[in-house]
Amino acid sequence: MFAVENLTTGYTAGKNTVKVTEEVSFQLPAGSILGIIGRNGSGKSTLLKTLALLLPKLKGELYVKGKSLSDYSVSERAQLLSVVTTSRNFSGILTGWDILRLGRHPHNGWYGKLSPTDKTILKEVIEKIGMENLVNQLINTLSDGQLQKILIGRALAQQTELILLDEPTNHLDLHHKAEVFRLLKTIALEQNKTLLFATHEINHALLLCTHLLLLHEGKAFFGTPKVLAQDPIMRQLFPQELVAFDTKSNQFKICF
Amino acid sequence: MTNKRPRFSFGLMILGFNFVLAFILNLSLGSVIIPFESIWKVISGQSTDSSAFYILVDYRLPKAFAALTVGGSLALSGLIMQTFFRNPLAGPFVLGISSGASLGVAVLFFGSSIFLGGVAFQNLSSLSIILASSAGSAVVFGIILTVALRLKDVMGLLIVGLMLGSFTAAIVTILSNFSSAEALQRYVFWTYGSLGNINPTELNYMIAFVALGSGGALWLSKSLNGLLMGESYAKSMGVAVKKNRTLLLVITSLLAGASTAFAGPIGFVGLAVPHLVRLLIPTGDHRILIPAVLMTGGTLLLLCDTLSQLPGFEGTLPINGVTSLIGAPILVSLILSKRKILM
Repeated sequence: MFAVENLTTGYTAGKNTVKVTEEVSFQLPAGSILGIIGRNGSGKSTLLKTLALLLPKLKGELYVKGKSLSDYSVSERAQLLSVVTTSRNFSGILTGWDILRLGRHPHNGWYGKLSPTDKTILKEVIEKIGMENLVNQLINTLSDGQLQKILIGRALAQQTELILLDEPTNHLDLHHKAEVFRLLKTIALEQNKTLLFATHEINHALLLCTHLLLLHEGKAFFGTPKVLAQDPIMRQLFPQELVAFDTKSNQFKICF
Repeated sequence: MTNKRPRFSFGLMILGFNFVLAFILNLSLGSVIIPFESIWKVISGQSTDSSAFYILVDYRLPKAFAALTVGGSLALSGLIMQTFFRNPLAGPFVLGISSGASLGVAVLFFGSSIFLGGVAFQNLSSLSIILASSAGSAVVFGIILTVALRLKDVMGLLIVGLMLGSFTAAIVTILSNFSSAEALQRYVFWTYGSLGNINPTELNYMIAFVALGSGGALWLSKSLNGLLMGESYAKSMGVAVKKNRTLLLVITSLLAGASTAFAGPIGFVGLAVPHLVRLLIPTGDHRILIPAVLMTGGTLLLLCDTLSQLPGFEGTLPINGVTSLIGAPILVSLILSKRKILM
């Protein structure tokens, strides 16, 4: 169970505090997939980074297994929560394998030696993401889609209950989008992991997610896709004359 | 798996072999050539009274140890900085760390000459030179880190590093204007770098500081591996980024500071050796890179020291000049042959 209570996200710049989203509250049972949606600049990435503890929260509390996340140590948190960000500012000397093995970082000793268990886990992850043939290539020789699968694999190797992903299908073609979304669904279903991801792919989010969190003008709206799709807030986000909601297919369509 | 995971033990063995070879050559060559057989006799304790014994024990062995300590530590400080900033141009010289060390030493030499007079200046201990040099490095590296936290732009950071180098050089110039001729002469000779004048006490200090820094770097090698993905990822994988940043600051300052204290500001080794090693052993694993960089830095400086006093030369050439003269063409030709750098 992952719970967020009255969370306010934002930045502190000098003496000024800029609030981005206020009073976010929701609860997610294990195995849920939460899609965080909203327009550009609505605060999706800020919220995701705050949930991942990469940005300090301005207010509120995050709970995992009924205990506040701030009560866990840094290494305990790394065993509860893994992240896939949009940052690609990696050293070019890394291979896919180097990145995957870093997933075992919170579990192995000070010297980072892989145990037989670590190796078995990594082998299973490589099979799951289907990267057997490419895992030893330098990452700057991989396509965006292949690198994204490696990064998701790294989060999987970290064996956390929660995986947070920032726009996991950004810059991917339809084929790789499908692969990544399918991979996420399998992870949630088979391994009962809770996934949270920020996305612009609203139609895919409606099909894939068990819950949605919509961010609009500093407020957050939480619900199931079915309920939230009919909510008047969606009309504000997508004006009828621009994007129409088709109730039969439960999908949004652009009005040309 | 269809393609095999590369193993680097062969590359490490080659580097180890070169290292031993460079060490023996350094002991053997000089104004007097000592045959390998005599070196072996001295090292194994069979000869304790020959002229070779005195040359080796009193002069060449300490100098060889100084060369490998200085080379190794500068190269390691470069590796840590390149990993930390994920920037191939980072190194103790480019980011102004060596200049900081120079400033520390200049303040000590000139300051004691200006304020305390000639006697105090003559009595400066080797430990005070190491500490001044390390403190100078630490101050500049601390400024660089603070700037790096505020400034995400890598080019901006490099410009700040170069400006800091220029700023510290200006302070040194102004200080030198007020100091005594002896202090100025001692400072100028110090900037040429010298491995031969290091006395056993100084060498012991330097080895202790560098061993401490290298041990610390090895202890943090797992975190350094994590940092190759950037601070956010490292943090999410349980790396205590803030604590490690401070530790790395201390380690890098110790490494660059202690070696610069005696060998002078050597600009080339810290930047080039990590690239040289990654071209030969293409890995991001610091558990392999750290020993490889230590050995290669040592090898390079041993070779340069050997060349700086080849038979036929009267006296020795400044080690700082020889390092770049030999090292730069090697690195450029390697980059051209591989058509890329790996970072």
